[in-house]
Amino acid sequence: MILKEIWQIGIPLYIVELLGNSYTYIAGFIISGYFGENEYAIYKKWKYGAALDRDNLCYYLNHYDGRYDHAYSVEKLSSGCRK
Amino acid sequence: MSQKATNVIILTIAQGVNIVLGFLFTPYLVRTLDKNIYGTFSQVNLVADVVSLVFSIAIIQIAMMLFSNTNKRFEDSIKTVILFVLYGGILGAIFCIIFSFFAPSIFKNELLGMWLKLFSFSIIGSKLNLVLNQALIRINKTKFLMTLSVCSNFTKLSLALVALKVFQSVEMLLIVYALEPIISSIIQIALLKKTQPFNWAI
Repeated sequence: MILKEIWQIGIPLYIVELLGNSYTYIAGFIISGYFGENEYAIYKKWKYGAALDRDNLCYYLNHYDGRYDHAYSVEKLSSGCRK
Repeated sequence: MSQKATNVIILTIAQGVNIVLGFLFTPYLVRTLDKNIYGTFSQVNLVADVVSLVFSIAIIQIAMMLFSNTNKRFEDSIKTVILFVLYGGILGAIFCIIFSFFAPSIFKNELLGMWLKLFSFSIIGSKLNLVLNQALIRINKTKFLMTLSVCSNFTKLSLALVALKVFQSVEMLLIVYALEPIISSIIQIALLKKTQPFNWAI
């Protein structure tokens, strides 16, 4: 009885959970699978606010293609980076 | 103050303390590990998270619904859910071990295979721990849950610090991270057994 209920409730919830988390995981797999562990480390460090480490910030800005607005504010902090 | 409000406040405090601990530790981890090592560590976590998600079949939400339904016998619900999580966790861990043979070529990272094998057993504990949290909330053991959650997180991060600072070993760090939810689950099951005197044989 409980098992039947688990399947009945579980499958829709499971689909919702998979779809809800899919963005994070797909992004993670694409970045780490396509670009490699170094780029993924930068992505993760950036995400957790540790990007103000000067070397990483410079690395990010040197590879920055101008698509994201938030990078402009960060750029002001990194006047020492050689582009 | 009602019991429900007290429980919510206690759980919020526990969550807040754990977030602060994690917030303090993450920058240390990021700065201590080399870029490629941190990247590989994050890849291991990513794969384990995805495998755990796929094999858990939304069991935490199901547990929450079953435990909050007073028409259901708690004994039946908890036994079924624990069995479900254990099977899912074991299957997930086996899948993770099999995947660890292909992962180095998929991600072009040789280190990933060994680390995935080491971290695979964390999949058994991660969801079990969360499901048992729901069970402890159901039997009003939120104070115990708060103490256990904060203490286990603090111990995990302290041991992780020792693994990195003293032994300079990321493998040890992964083992600490994998063992923490399993040990926490064992303590939770011991308390449940003590407070719920029904036949625990499955």
